[in-house]
Amino acid sequence: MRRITIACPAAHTDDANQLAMALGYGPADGLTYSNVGYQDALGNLYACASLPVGDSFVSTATSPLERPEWDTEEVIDMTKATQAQGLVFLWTPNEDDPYPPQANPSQIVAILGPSGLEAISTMGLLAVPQAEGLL
Amino acid sequence: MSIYLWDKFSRGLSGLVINPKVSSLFSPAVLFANNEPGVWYDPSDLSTLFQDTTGTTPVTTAGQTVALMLDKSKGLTLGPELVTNGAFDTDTDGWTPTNATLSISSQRLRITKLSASFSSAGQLISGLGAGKTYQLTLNGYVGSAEVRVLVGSGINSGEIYSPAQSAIDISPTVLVTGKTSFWVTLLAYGATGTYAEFDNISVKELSGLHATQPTTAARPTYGIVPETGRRNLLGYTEEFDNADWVKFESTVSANAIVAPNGSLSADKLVENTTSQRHLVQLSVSAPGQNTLSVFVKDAGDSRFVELRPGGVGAGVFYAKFDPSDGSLTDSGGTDLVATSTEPVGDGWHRVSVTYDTAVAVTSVQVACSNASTGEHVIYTGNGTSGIYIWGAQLEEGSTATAYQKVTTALDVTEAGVTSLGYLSFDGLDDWMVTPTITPGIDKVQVFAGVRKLSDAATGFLVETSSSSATFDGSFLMAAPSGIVGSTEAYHFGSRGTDLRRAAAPNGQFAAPITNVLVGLGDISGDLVTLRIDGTQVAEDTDDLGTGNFLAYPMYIGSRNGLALRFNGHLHQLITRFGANLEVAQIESTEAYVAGKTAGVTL
Repeated sequence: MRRITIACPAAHTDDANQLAMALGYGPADGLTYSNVGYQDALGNLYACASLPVGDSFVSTATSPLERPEWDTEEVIDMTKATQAQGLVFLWTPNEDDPYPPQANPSQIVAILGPSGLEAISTMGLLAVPQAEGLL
Repeated sequence: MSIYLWDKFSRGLSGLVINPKVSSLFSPAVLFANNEPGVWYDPSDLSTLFQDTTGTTPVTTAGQTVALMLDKSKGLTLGPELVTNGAFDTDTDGWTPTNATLSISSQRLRITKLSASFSSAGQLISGLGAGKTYQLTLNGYVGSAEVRVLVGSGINSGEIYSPAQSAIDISPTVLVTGKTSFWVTLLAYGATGTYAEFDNISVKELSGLHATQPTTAARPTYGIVPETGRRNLLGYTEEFDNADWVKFESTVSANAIVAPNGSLSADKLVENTTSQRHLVQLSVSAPGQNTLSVFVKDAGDSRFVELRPGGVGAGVFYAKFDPSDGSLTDSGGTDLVATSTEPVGDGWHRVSVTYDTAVAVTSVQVACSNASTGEHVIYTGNGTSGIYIWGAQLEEGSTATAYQKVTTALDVTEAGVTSLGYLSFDGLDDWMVTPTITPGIDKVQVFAGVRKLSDAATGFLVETSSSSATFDGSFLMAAPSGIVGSTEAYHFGSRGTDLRRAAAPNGQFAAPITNVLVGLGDISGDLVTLRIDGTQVAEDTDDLGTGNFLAYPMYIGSRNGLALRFNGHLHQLITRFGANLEVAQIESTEAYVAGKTAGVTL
């Protein structure tokens, strides 16, 4: 198992949630990018997700999408899912390109390997400060 | 410490004081002997963890995500049978056919297909509690048709549980939560005229309030660690072929010979034919005093093993050993403290080097050398010679202690030492939630065994309601918390109509750290208390306002699933809404939680 961490620009969360369902196990995966809680240096907002994945995940995620068996009621908008798939830029540390990609509004950047918070930092993202006080 | 046993028959304190060494007799279940509302989650009990919310796929190994965690507070008992005629002794009463003929064959339900489309028998299970969990079990027998089971809001629908058709007999266990009613649909899957059979259909309430996370990416991950805690700072300590061990002018032949523990897991580090240094290197931050050790065995190639840091140039520390007899052949460096060697049998030796450096060591190296002396020697290899290596360990201190196998950070084990389980929350998007808990009382006690990995951002370990900052009758436990203008290591807050909190200042319990936390809230008593590792560290006696704790879900690992993510490990979690506990009861529970939390001694 390896960990993948994904930063999805706020404008693409709807499509990305369709992709998450297409690669996932049920309608609840449509909530994967539900919290736009990170921002880049320019203030662009992102929803982030991080999870361990099996060895076959990358090839599955980069292959032509098929409607999963659980989606008998066609919950998934496969057109949107495919659009999101086209925006994904996947990077693995130690590969030929030594420079990790920075999160940007036009791509869904995914990093394979480091812990979620390490990957988010590598992408140049910071948590959006919480406006609500604890008290 | 005095440990009191709770007498489950009289449901009162027996007053029996027992030796803490036999505190394993204590069970948190006694805290709920009067059916007190609350939960008890025990990630060390694998029978309570599942990879899906329907409880069909158990968690079995470290690294798997957890979608469902069962609450043990009410004993995981089963209620009365809710299925009508699930045994099919005489007839098919109670079952509704769709495109099928229902009959009895050898006291089983036979479904014979009248159509190529959905052919089934269904039964509505109704009158359920929305926050309760129900366990469905059955036997499905393949006849001339395959079998399939659906659980959903309508007959022949399966939005909750819809596995692929099965060509083999099945006996699934499915948990259903959050429904006031649902249909069980038994399907025969095949051509017209074919049949499948079913028997022993059962639906019963499973006691407890079970925590779930339906969204795959938001699930915490199961991990294990020795009960004494993790000491080995390295990863893939028996897998030098793993990509995390960077190979410099060398290759690794995995699982080449039997290792000191008797498993076929020792590797051979083989030099290549380049004129260079030949080694493997693992990234790790390890300044200060540390000891690097590895098990080595001679491969009959007249090669030596060298331990040293990477990325800091020569002269910091190094040690070279002859694997044929384990002898030290050379060592040096300004920050070298000591070396050691120990025979462990079958030609294996455990060799180590201790250093104490202010240099920012960012990696460690295990090198193969053709020279018995000299640091970081360049030579031309022959492409076949090398050394056998196994069990690398880097740890704080001046001694190589018992070896701990580390695969990933989530999978750490030590021979002869009990492994404890935990849920790892990534601080980014992981969380779980319980069904609504209805306290009906103004007192709460929260016990948690926690490893906090970072103080960089506020993390909510548990909170009832979507925000205790807003909703009356709620509580929270944070690890850490960031009140405006300050940071607190831990924080427990309770709210009647006013939120009060007890907090441990930062610095006292700085991350990474493992602790047993206890939060006590008493609204009418105007008391909020925080205990850490058996000692009260803070209390607030200001007015909490009025009322009871109110009915809310309890969020684990975040606020409302949306913010303030906890970054760390949860070993144990008990939340009890009930009368205030005696000190001895609190101490017994703390001792129990400590026993389930790696590396904590009260």
